[in-house]
Amino acid sequence: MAFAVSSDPNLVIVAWTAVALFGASLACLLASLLLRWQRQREHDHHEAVSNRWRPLLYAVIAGETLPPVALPEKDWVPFCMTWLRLYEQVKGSSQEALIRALHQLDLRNRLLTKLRGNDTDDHLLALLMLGALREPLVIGPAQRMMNSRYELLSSVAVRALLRVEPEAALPTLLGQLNRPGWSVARLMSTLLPVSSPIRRKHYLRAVDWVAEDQLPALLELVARTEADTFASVADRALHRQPYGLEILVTVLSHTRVPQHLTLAKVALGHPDSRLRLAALSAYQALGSLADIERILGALDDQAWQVQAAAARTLVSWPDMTPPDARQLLAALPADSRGRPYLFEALYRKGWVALAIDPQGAAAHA
Amino acid sequence: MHELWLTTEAAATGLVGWLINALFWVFLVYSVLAASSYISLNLIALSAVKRATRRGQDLFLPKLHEQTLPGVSILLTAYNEEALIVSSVRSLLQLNYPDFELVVIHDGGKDNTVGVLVEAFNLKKYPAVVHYEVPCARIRAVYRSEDHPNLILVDKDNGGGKADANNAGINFASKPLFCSMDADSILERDALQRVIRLFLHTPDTIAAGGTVRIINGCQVKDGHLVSVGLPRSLLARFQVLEYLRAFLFGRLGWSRLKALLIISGAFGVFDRDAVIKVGGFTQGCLGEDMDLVVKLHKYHLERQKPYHIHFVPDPVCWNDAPEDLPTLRKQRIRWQRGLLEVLTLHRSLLFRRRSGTVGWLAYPFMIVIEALSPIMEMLGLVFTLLLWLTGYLNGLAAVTLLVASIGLGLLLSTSAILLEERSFHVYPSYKASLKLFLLALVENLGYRQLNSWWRLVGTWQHLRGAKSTWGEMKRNTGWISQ
Repeated sequence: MAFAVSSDPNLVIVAWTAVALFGASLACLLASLLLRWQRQREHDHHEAVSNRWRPLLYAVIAGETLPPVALPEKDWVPFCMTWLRLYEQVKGSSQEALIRALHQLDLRNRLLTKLRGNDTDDHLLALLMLGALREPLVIGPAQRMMNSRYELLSSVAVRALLRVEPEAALPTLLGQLNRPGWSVARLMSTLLPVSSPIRRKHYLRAVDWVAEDQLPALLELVARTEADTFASVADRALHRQPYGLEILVTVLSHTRVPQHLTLAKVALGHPDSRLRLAALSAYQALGSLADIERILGALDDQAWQVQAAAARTLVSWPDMTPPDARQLLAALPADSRGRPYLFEALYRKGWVALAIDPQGAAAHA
Repeated sequence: MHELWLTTEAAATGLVGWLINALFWVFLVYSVLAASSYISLNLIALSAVKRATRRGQDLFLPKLHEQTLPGVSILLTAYNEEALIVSSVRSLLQLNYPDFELVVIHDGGKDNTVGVLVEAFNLKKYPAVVHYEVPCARIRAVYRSEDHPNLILVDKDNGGGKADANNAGINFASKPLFCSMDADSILERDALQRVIRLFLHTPDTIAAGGTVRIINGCQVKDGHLVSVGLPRSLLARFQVLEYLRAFLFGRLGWSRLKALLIISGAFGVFDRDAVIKVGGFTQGCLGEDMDLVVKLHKYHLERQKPYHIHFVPDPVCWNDAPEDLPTLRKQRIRWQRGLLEVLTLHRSLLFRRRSGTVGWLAYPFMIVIEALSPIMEMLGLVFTLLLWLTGYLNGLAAVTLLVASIGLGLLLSTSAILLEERSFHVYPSYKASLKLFLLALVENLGYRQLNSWWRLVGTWQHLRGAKSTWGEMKRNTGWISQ
């Protein structure tokens, strides 16, 4: 073969490429086996460090002093992870005891050095640990990292900020509402660990200064995290934007304030079906048999979603009894658009059987 | 051009010799192009894998609070799934997720799927009002259970394939997100939470897919995966490698380039409203999973609306792989036909203005590398054989090229094994890695060629416009312990 290929440089290239490809494949295999071996070693090391430190940290939680134990650099990561896992499991004085142990080990400076480095793994651990220590020097780096496109780093930075200075961090976070990367859901999961009084205070302030396009998102956030404060925030938002469609939709969707039924009454005739749906939400929570005529009207709405919501609203009222509901169904014209939805709603409540209305059972919209 | 590949006799034929030589170069350039594309995807996937498998993720990820999690409707399509459906439903009802409903769509099969479900879960007929927001075949009946209020069974007329069944499910889904799944899939308990996290933290996410792995060789008890192993059957083992290649670097790489064109029908989560806006799944489409994702891209690109479609390697769905040749053949033909169907249907996306990496990178790749590859492979093989038979072939050159081609295939597989080891290392033993390596060698000696042939058959059927059907899939249930 050597004589044949040496006469043609292109064939030599192809031959050597083949050799290189097989070689690279073998290298991938060896690398896989090496990775597996390394991972096992690392796992064993982490286990060993964890087994050494966990009893010491438990003893610290129990009130004992940490004995003078050195923490070599190679043990830093497994130690931090063990410490953090324990920290997340305990509360109150136990957490304080763990923090005292960290101070005893004089890790603060080492953590700050890691934070200033370039390694993302170090940043993540350092942010969490320094956040737990409530170290003020973490605020600057955390504020820079909270807008990182790497979601993990951003989330950890925000957690650190909220631990160190929640009062300062909250306005910064609320200012991100509805901005790229900051959905209501994300803010919800970020702010839920913050104490309720602090949240409430900042929500009530934020309604006066957030941008107008952020108001609906703020209302949504308040409705889902501080329902008791919703009414106050909603009134102030409506005061700022009395005719904002999105605000009205959000308020009516979440309200438990009887006075808002006046708004719902008007909203039920609005051309936008989202607002009509939101109005029905309000009626579902706050309405009664006194509102029946209005809801019967909604049962014949153009939008099927509104018809279905009207049916659900009717059966949700505490003063609606099964005989009243069945009578209502019987009184509806056979060609009523909302009739099948009302039948379904009644069936779900167990107020009618399938045999009563075979037409309703086979209804298709 | 240098006449590398021909014997001197052939080279002396002048123009014919020149043409033959040129064709060989075309095949070589094509192979290099395909290889470099896959290798580039490998490298892109490597960086994404690092982020997705960072040590200590449980500490760094923000805790998910139940009230922040949106509701999810899980759509489980079932056609002749009597053997597996009860265990699938039972497994899904135990999902670790606060707000979900399970919509099982019986697609008019001939067995007793409905009967076994009604009995197992105490289902009763229910007067549901059907609103056909997306088109689907007639709904015959709807069933609900008092014991499991979040379980709905939709019995529909057969027709329109899996796409139609999914559409029926969408019409009944009441949650803002839906997750389409296969009846033989097992979801890891927190898989849904892991993919939903993306919807929470990346606004404008409209779809996300997760990794699908082969369940053959694993053990499942009461709907939970209790042990992972390589399948016994050689055919299923080859598919393990294929799935590693396709999911670990293929889809992950494309996801990083914001050009993911496929989310597996076995496990994908979608924004219901976004899907309704594009008309749901295309009825009768064999490649319904790819078709939906391409439609979503088109819709949002046309309107210049911000959106994200992700592949998340972390949540895992385990799926049953065919272990017999006829079933595997049907599947591969269907996949190829599905691919060609979608590429033809949405060809306006190719090199369209403002279509970004979707129209300028992913779509051309799908056409040139994925769709054309079985044709090129087979043509190359046939061409080489013909030349050899006519005595025109430089045998040594051809063998060298063949060996290089095998080496390339081997590298792609072993790099997938390396990525797997770097990331999720699901297969626990050293032996498994060695076995996979050997499989990567052996698959070049017949399995790859068989696949190319089936894909060629699929291409021919597509070009002929032959009637497309899903057919019946033979299921393996050896991995289930009750």
